[in-house]
Amino acid sequence: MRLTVGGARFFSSTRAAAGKAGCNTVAPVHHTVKIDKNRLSPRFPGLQHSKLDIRHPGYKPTSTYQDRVAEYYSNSVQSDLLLINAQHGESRQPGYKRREWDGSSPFHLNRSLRKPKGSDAETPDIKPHSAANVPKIEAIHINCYVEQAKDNVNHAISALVQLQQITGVKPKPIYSKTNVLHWRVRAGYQMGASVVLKGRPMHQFIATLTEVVFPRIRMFKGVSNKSGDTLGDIQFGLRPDDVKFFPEIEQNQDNWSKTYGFHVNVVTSAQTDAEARTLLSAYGIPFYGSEKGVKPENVEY
Amino acid sequence: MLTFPIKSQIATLSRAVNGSTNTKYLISSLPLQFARGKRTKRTVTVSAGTQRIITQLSVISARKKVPRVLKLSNEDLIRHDTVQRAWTLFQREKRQQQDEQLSKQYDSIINALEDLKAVAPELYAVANKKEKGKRFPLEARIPVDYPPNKIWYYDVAKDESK
Repeated sequence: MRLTVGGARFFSSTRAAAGKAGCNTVAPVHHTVKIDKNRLSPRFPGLQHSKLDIRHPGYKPTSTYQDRVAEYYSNSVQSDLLLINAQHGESRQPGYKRREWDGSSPFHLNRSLRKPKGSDAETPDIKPHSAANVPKIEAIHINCYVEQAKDNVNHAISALVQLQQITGVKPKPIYSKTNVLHWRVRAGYQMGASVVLKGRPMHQFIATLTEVVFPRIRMFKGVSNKSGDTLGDIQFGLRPDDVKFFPEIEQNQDNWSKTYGFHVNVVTSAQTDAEARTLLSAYGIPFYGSEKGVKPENVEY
Repeated sequence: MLTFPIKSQIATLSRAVNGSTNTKYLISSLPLQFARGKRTKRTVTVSAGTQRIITQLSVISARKKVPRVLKLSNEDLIRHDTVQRAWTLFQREKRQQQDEQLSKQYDSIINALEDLKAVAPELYAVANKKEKGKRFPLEARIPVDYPPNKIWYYDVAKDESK
């Protein structure tokens, strides 16, 4: 009784330690802070550096060859696109946005906003064209879904290897997300592979596609003018027979008795699909069919 | 010989593989036992299809592909760093020049359109029209180091006989 008043020692200032009811409102952070234990260990000094440092074991030299596709873009395509897209007196065009309720019902007060008119989702504003937002290809997403992989996972592995051979980038396996009864697919099956190409591998892929593969596809018309997700990304597909024209596959036909088609999504920084098509035509990708908002007499070829 | 416990036999075998023991312990009537590190002949044969998948899996495995880390002396490191910085600086300057060039081009496009609007409004309306559906010519090529002598066959005609 002689230590402290009331018999309690105050080690902490929290209410619980003071013998009072209540809870701590400060959320604990010790398990939310991620610690990379490899970097704490003194055994691997190379890991202390960034991956761009030559001392890091994961260092990979990138600029080891001339990137002619990138040079073509910056030397000739970029300024042409600026001229094609430049408009005088442009203003920001608002996209589809969620709307307020009119307030005719008292229940409108806390209700979430109405859907945009004419669309399920909001769309971004279209900004005036300038020298800073000239469209360019940002990435190419390749997705290879193999239907036969539901019976034999070996097909998914072969598809993955095929994508790696074609692109030179390590793909990721894709898995079915849900059970689809009439496809006889269950969630968690490995069903193929996908890969995201950026930078030099992307340029290499475009060059191979437009110079080697497209010209050799029989009855090839081009990419449909109706393709696109309205936000400036263009999609097309390659059939298993078309894939055989990639030089990596063609030179090694004995090992590639079976090839797998895939979907290609070209992600561009263009704000509309029409601008994205203009950009892709510079790389030698032909388009066919009628384009929305373009009169047939104005089509150039 | 049978007085040796089995455990010591195994130990002798594995050491014998390393080549650092007396050979006299090797003479034994006991059957050979498994020893860690000793290579055994693969007896299981797989079908050609399975073998292809095994090969393909080894193609995508990262295990064999990671190259060794370069061993650089301090001088090498400084040299590498200097070259790297110079290259980055060169690229940055090039990029800045290009951006400047582009914005100048944009300004002159807009200036020209403004002048045209004041001088000839009907021409301005034509010049400022949106070029939807514009295409680069199909003949356009990404430049190569060694272009062919005849780049484009302009007089190509459809062969009617086929």
